Amino acid sequence: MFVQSSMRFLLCSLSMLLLLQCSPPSQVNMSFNRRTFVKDWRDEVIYQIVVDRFADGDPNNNFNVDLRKEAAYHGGDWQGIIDKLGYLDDLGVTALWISPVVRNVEEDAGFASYHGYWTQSFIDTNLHFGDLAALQRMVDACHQRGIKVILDVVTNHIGQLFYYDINRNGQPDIVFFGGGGPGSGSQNSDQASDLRRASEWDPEYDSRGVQAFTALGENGLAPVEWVEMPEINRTPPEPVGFQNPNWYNRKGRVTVWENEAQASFEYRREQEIKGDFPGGLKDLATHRSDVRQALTEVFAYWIQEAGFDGFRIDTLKHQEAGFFDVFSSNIRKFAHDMGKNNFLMFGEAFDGNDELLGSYTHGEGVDSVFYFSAYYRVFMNVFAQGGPTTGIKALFEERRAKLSEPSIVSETVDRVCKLACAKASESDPRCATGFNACVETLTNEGLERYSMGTKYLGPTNAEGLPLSPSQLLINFLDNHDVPRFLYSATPALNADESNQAHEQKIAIGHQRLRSALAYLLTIDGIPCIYYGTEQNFSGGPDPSNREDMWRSGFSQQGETYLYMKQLIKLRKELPALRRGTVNFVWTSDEQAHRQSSVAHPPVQGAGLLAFERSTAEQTVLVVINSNDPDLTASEQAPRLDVSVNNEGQGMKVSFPPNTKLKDLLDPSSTQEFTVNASGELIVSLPPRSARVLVLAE
Amino acid sequence: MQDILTFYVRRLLSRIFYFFLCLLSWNFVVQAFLIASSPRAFADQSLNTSKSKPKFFFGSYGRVGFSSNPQGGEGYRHQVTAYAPRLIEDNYLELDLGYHAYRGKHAQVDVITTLSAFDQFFHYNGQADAQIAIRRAYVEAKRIGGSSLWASLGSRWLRGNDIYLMNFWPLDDLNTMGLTLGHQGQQHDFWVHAGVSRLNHRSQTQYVNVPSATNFGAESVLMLNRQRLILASLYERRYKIGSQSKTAGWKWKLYSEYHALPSGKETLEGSFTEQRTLPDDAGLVAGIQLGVWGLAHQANHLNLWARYAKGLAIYDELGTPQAMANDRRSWSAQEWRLALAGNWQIDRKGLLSLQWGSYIRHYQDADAIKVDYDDRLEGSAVIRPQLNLKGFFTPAVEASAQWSQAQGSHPVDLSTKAAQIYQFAFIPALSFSRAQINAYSRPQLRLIYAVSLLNDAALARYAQADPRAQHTVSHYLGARAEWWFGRGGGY
Repeated sequence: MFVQSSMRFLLCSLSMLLLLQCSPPSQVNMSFNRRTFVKDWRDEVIYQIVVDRFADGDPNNNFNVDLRKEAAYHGGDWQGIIDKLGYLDDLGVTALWISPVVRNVEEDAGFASYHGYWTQSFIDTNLHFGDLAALQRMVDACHQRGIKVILDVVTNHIGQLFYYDINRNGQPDIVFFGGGGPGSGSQNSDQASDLRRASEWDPEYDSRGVQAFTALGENGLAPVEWVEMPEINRTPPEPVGFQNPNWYNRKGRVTVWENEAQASFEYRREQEIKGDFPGGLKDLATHRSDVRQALTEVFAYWIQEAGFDGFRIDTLKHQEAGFFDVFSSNIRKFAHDMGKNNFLMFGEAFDGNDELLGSYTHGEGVDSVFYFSAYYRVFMNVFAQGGPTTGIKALFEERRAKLSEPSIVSETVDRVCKLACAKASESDPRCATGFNACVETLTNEGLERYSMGTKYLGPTNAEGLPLSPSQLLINFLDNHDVPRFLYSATPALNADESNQAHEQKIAIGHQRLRSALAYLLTIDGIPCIYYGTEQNFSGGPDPSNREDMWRSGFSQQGETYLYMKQLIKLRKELPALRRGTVNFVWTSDEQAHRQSSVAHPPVQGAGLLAFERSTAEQTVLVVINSNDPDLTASEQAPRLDVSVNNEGQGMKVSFPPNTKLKDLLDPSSTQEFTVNASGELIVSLPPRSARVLVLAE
Repeated sequence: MQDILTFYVRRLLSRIFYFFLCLLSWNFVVQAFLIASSPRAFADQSLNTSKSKPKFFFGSYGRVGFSSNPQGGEGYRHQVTAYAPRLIEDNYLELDLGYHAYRGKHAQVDVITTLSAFDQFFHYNGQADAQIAIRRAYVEAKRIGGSSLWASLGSRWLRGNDIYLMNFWPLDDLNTMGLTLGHQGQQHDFWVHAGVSRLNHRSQTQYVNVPSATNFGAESVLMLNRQRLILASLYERRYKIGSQSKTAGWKWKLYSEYHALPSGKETLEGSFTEQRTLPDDAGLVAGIQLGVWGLAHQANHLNLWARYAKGLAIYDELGTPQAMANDRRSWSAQEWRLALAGNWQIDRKGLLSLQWGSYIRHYQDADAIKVDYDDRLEGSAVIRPQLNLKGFFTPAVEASAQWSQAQGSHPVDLSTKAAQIYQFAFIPALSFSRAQINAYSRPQLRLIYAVSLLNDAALARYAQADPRAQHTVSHYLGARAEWWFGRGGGY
């Protein structure tokens, strides 16, 4: 002890000579980061970042970086995000969804794990992006600016960490047996047997579990063999509990999508839930209580250690809804106990079926989902392809109808009121006059607000009242799993065309993007922007849609950037755009005009969309013209620039007659629009543009 | 814009520094000639102008031994600081072969070579090969033209005083291929050196297969050819202590280095046309040493060093930077060292001598991260009392400490605790010398028992699966021999 003290004294004394400090390094204040930063998730604008592709703030973690390969690591990291927070702040986004942080298998079949979805350790960071301290610093830096951080988590599977030893020879093989059967080229047709082939890394689905087989026939369940290849981090999963083979379904890769039409719904769901994800990603047995508990603990760890404000959950569709009842409620409680109320969990179910999407939000399931229905029916069909705008209205009406079904309403109201009255000590206003009064009140008022159940300790509005999944839907134009919006919306380029023609098509794509953005940032739900959208990134399907952000130079002067910035600003300034009800005042059954379509002459009023967002204090009218410019029309007949139908009638709005409105999306404009005596508004609106109209002062 | 400005300001500063270095060096050279041409310059030097027969000479340094840990495996050392007590160290051998090529009125010229062998000895591993290196191969001419000037050219080291107990030269330890011009006098020494190195590392050397110009297939061409230029200078001033003393004295020394690496093009893997630019880089060292020796006993001495290094120069001419700034330069890295070492023989017969060494160092790498696990404030101290019994039995004990405080938290467990190692050793030894035995008498045969105590933060520096990470108390039992004799060449 004396020796230690003396030595420490000596060393500290020497260090004082150098005017250096002996004190431990400063750390991120985690008590600050473990508190609640969100008042109402509808106020947030989410910005999705694929960390590897956003910004390289620390070249020293650029291990195995190869910028020439789309599927290699490119060097982005958490320090890069810290460095670019000024850019994000200027754009106005308020929450970041970052790609997974956990340590991954480095590579597989020439593809790298830059995306982060190939978990090897649930509790270590991926050092390509930084260490735990760097992650803490990044989250802290975001919180200091009021930016929330959402973590992408994978609960369905791990990386390709084991193989099925189908031929029981103790090494991973591509297994072949048989000659291919009669007529398949075998030299001895009398004795020819069927050809059987299996990759031990990624065998096809078998309901019984992947079977071993040898020349003598099947040989029971194929043993699970963990691999130890530390040079590419293909080592058994951590924590060690995940090394239990029984924690995996072990049925092989989903194949049903290849013949989806011929499979029953039940069999398709069985494969999706119990099969390995394509790429040999081994499916966790999430029906087991011990697996559920372990997954809860490892992901609670990241809230505890890094202070995340929400989870984006990968591949919902591949897990039992019951899993999320347990996982989500436990995570919610953990976050709450730690000081994080309003912890948001939304999931990705790659499906345009509202009912399927909604099923994951039932009970204590996730708080919300990516709204793939809107992706397909609104952004792709209407804004990219020019489909009728009535499709948008129909989407809303179908959802409302579904949510208003008496059984759902009564079940939901019953549940909400039980929860409200169970928390009597917290004086929930809905239960102020008792349970029956609560049921009556909720049944009679806007049911959508309470539809599909709110969650115990789930997201609330600024007043602390629970928000329902249908109020928290995550809207998006595109993300890392689908082609960029511009890829889908830009008229196809032809190699034989001139550069001028190419530029014209690209310009049209940009205009279509901006009208889609006008919708995204003014409709209800939570808008989610994929990084690079503001820079007109236009990559096709994965991996082309994961471009390096730094190639844009992080320009803050681009037209799309400025347009998006203005829309976000308006969304922040106008509460009705964030929390107001939606009332469609103009849609059309007709296809929008497409500049490239000669056979489809423009129809008056087609391609126009108008809706009001209203709160008790404010109504905002959003008008969007999704038509392309009619380059074939004469200047004297700009038939596409007014929102009237074929009979010359304008749209009926809720504003009183003679109300004057002004456009906030174009702050330089002094033009005013007056509601006529019939309560109609005729708005001049150039193609591919939008107006956000409010009462003129 | 700011980056560009910073870059040019930095370049300008580098150039100014370089200019002053050259000026200083030139000044030294001019002074050297002035001193050398002075009739008093070598008044007390016995310049042997008579012709003597050329002769070979041989010298060696070596350390070799074996050891065991409690499990019967080879013993190992624990280290959490950049430099640590050398008690438990690898085997190593140097063989010097030199030739007095010329002894005449124009100069004394030696050819000196040193062959080094690293750790892998046949009788231990059964491998009939060795890791060998040619460390020195140079010609050195002294007393050029009858003056006190000297010059050397070739591959060599230029070293000052070390901390023996750590095998560590805190100020000057330069290893290059280059030219040195110097002056060696009774009271003044100085030299200037210009050398280069091109490490066989991807950042400096890259051979790439390209289509052959005249034949089928590929030929390998040197595509990346980045030499590090190293300019160094030293000035040392010595003073006698007391008029009677023949051996006691003190000195001060100034030392500097300037390192420059030009920009280059790295060819990307799998290509011979795609390249990326590697930016130029630079570094410098400036330091001072105060030393006193010969008080009470010939072997007594005390040295104090202070050294500041920046950029490339921190990483040694045989190393490459560990962390870069976003512009992929190391210039913004900084290092401070302060070291103190000495030996004190308690009585004239050398019954008890006390050796010690210590240093403290602050290192900040070049990356933009201010709170960084790679940045360190660290120090180490070691003390070794040694007895001299019967003129050859020299038992000793040694106590040492290592302390390393990372400036960021641990990457995994976020601990901010300083890594610490305390080591205690008992070293019964036999030392032999024709002169009176002291702490540096060699050859020496020693037995070593050492116990090391590691705290959790020290263990956390090892990979989880590393057996060394498993024990907070580590034992070492070893037997080692060390020798040096007949070392040729200056510095």
